[in-house]
Amino acid sequence: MSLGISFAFILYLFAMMSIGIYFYFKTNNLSDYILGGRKLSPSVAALSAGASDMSGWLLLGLPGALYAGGMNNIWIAVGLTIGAYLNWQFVAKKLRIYTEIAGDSITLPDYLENRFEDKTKVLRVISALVILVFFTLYVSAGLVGGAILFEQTFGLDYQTALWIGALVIVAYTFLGGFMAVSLTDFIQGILMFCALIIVPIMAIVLTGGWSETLKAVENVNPNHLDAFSGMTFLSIVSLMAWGLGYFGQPHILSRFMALRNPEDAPKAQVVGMSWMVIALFGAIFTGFAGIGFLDSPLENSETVFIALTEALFNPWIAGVILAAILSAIMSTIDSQLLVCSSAIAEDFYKSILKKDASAKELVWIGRISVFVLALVATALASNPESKVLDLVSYAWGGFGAAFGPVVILSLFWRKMTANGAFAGIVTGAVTVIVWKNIHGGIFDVYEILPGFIFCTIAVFIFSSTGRKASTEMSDTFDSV
Amino acid sequence: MESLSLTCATWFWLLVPMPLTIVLSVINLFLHRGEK
Repeated sequence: MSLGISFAFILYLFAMMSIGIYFYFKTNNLSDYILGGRKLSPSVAALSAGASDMSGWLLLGLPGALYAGGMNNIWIAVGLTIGAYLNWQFVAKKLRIYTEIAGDSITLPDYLENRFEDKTKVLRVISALVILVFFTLYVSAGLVGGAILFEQTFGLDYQTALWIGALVIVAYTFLGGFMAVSLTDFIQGILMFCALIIVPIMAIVLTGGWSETLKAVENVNPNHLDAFSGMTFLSIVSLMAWGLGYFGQPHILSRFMALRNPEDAPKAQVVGMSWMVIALFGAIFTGFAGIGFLDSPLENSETVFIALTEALFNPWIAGVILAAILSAIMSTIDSQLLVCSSAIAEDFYKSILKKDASAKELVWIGRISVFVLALVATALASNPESKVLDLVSYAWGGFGAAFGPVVILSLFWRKMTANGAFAGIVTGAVTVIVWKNIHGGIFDVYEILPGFIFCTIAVFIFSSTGRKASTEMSDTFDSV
Repeated sequence: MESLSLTCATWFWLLVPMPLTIVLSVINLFLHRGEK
């Protein structure tokens, strides 16, 4: 283990912990803890949405896919970029306004209940349930990624690496809540961004420039230069369908709700999209440059970013850059833990168990939930053979299909009702689970696509039957 | 040397849709600049 790498890591973790402790003393109520009292500036909201969205996938998964398969892996990046753009363009501002008007909602289940005047609590409970199930798996997948990083960088054994990573992440989410998470996400977003610019540029320069890099890649496999190599129309559509997931990710939508004011959305959109596009290019070219730069093929293609960093930089700088990977993983896990804790505190505890719970009590319920959920997720992650990417794509698809069409239609269709929302969430989630477990032919398409379509159909059918939208509901819709 | 470059279609899908979202976002910012 290098002293430089260790020092940079420890310094970084110490800084993140300090932010958590600082905000512990600034948190007075659940809204502060969950949404930071809607005080996020456009740039913090944008980078925090980007960093919490991209996770280790940006620094490990995408470069790894490019390294292993070449340019035909760009489709997922293209799809995600288009999805993120549409989300910022059409959802961010409207959702920020609507959540405030609809009973000052601070969580997605809260918003759905208030938007559809659902007195039965069914909508709140079913959406909180979907959140808890998918996020617990999501968090455990992230913890596995963190453990692999610690394991590879410091030579720790897997279990020790897993528990150290989990302890640090939980500590500052537990203490600081949303402001701590958003601020650390912001710092992590900048760190990831810089690492993704420096690493590919250095690798390409040291290979001898762009044309030498192309020559080296061609020597390995000429098909790596073609985005259409081995692709069918269906496989391209399937990869681009990842972009549909954006509309239903609770941890990203919560960034929109937390914007300081709705008029900040276009500013945040420019920062968010610029960050995302440049970071994705960085990830694509990291993997691509790795093909030419690294002499012997890597055993695990997803370690290409780590291998390049260790080969290109001295240990002190490498330590800082590798901390960016930890940043990416941490910034996603902490956001997801926070959304889960809000689902328990707000949607189960306050709504069903104790309606008159005090603000301080709810903050503590939220904190205890973070702790318990993290324990469950860590236990799930303790098997190093867990299929991380499978879990991530499952959860991303589940949220996108269950909530995506529901959120979009709730903002743009005045006749949508609670019945429609309920049917949409259940149909979307069930379609994803069923589709995932059938293989071959059309079922090889990423499950988010059929889930999204069936959810939309269910919302339309069930909103058109039963109780119509009330006048009050329509008036609120018109005022947004 | 055709084989030593990315294909035109690859360059197009790599360099057009993604940067275009930044351009569209900037246009959107200017269109909404006066709003308060």
